[in-house]
Amino acid sequence: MYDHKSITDPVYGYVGLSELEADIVSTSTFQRLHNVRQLGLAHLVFPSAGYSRFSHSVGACHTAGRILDGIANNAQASAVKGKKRQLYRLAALLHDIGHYPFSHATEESVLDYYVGESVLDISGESESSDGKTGLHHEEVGRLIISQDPEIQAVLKKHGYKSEDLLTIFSKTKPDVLFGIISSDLDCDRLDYLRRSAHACGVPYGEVDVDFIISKATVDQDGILCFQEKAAIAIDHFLVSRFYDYMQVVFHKTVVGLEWSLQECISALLKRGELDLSSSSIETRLLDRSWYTIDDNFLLGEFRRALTILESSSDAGVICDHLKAVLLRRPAKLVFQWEALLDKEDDRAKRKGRIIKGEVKRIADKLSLDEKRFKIIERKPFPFSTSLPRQAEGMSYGEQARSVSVLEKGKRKSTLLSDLPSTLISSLFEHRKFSLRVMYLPQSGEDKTIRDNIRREFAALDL
Amino acid sequence: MDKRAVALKLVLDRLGTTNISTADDRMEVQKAVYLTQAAGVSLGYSYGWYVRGPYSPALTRDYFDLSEEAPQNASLRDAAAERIDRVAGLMDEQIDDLRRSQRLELLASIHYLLKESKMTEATARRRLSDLKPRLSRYFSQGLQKLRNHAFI
Repeated sequence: MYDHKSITDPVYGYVGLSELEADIVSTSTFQRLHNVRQLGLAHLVFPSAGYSRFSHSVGACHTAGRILDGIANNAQASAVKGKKRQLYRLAALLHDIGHYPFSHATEESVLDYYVGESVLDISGESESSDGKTGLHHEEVGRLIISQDPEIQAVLKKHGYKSEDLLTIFSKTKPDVLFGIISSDLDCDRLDYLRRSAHACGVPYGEVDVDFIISKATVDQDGILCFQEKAAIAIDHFLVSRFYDYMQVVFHKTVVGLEWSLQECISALLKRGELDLSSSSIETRLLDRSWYTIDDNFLLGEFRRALTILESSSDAGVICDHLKAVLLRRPAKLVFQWEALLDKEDDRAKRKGRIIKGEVKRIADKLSLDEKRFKIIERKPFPFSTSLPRQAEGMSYGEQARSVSVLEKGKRKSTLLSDLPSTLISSLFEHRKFSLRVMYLPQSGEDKTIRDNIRREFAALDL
Repeated sequence: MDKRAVALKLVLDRLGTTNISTADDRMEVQKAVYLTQAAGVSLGYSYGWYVRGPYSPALTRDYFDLSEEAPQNASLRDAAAERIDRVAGLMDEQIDDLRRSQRLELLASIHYLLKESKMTEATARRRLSDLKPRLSRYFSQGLQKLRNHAFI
């Protein structure tokens, strides 16, 4: 059934698709994903990293199928078969269907703009968004599955209902084995690490994903987990993910470009030249023009805006952000502080407050526009949040999303972080704190200006 | 602090759910934001049913990063503030001897099962009994409170 079509894939060799999956892949809404890059602007630093959400989505579908095979082998009672199996694979195939152009960077700008406009009143700068709201990409995906005429037609042709698919895609029903589609070790993350490392040319994808997947099982509460023998491979996977993040996603130039990208999108939204509100997306789905809203569309809008702005008196910082994205003229790192500390350590917070004041002082002293500076504070960790290490300190939602293993002879799974033998367990109380200041040079500006900025930061006693 | 974080901070301040030190505190935040969105204040969080109730992983990430105070020149729009006060009114309603975190868990779960899972009242009642036996006997009271405050 899952070999109706096969797609050549650099990570898995060949990926088989069912007829239904192949029909979904052929819709214009899914084909759009060819033009939505998985890693935003990372290809401007890692030239072969321009792979798309399309190949990742096909890989996630394949991975979901293999997780289901693992469960069938290791926990026969929880085996997912027939139509239900197809629905899980479809949910995985479509898990990124709602991503905006350039993925997360745009989503953040969209949510920030529409939530800010509809909920906040900020003196002097806020205008009403006329009731428009912004959507998280999962909500956009939900709209697409329930309203896109092409996808509706394909589902109908094969005897499937979008409501049934949505119960898994959106995890709306209590009986859904959601961990396959959404957890710290789901089909998305399992595919991403290998694909990203392969495309970027970094070595962090060399982890035993096949072994991890083969040990997939389900505990007595219906939570996706992995047999205990996979614990070391999972530990390695999570630590590798952390290094991948630090080297690729958090690369100084990638971060600088991402800042410019978000500034460009926010500027277009504010000027009313771009509408990515929920109502606009619904309209575009119904008139079948949503497929045109991809990375190329945004780049075209940026080019148009640059041409207009450059010839007006309105030019300024935003023009340099546009050039950063269009001509690869990224913001520069002028200050950085990083340390692996106890997660409750407040040194980063204190330094952050000092740096904020210093940025203002340095901008004034050197007669620079403060808008050309951006302070970036992050504290990356293999897991995405600062959750308590042990299960007893977590809410059930937090536990359910975390990585769990099933110890031999037990029916209830244990959090990987509760196993003292794992590296993750001992790292859990620590965070890599990072504080960076980026500076966007004015077009044609002499390098001595940023040398002066760096000297000012270097002279600080932090 | 971006505008979305400011909005979240102001909403949580107004609802009095700013503490996140214990699992119960964080569950209150999750359910309070769920009900705030159900009241029509869109904060852009996507919720799914995770084992025993509605939960948003993105919200978990965001509230752990909410360390700063909201800027002094930022406030909630009147329309949003009115809706949030409706949520606060619902949160203040007593249901027997249930703690606030339990009341919120009950209210958000009933709302989610009826509105998002699209279950009938009878099915939602049965599912809640399977999933949360300790809360299921309060189903009728919870449903009534949701109706009284026009959430259903």
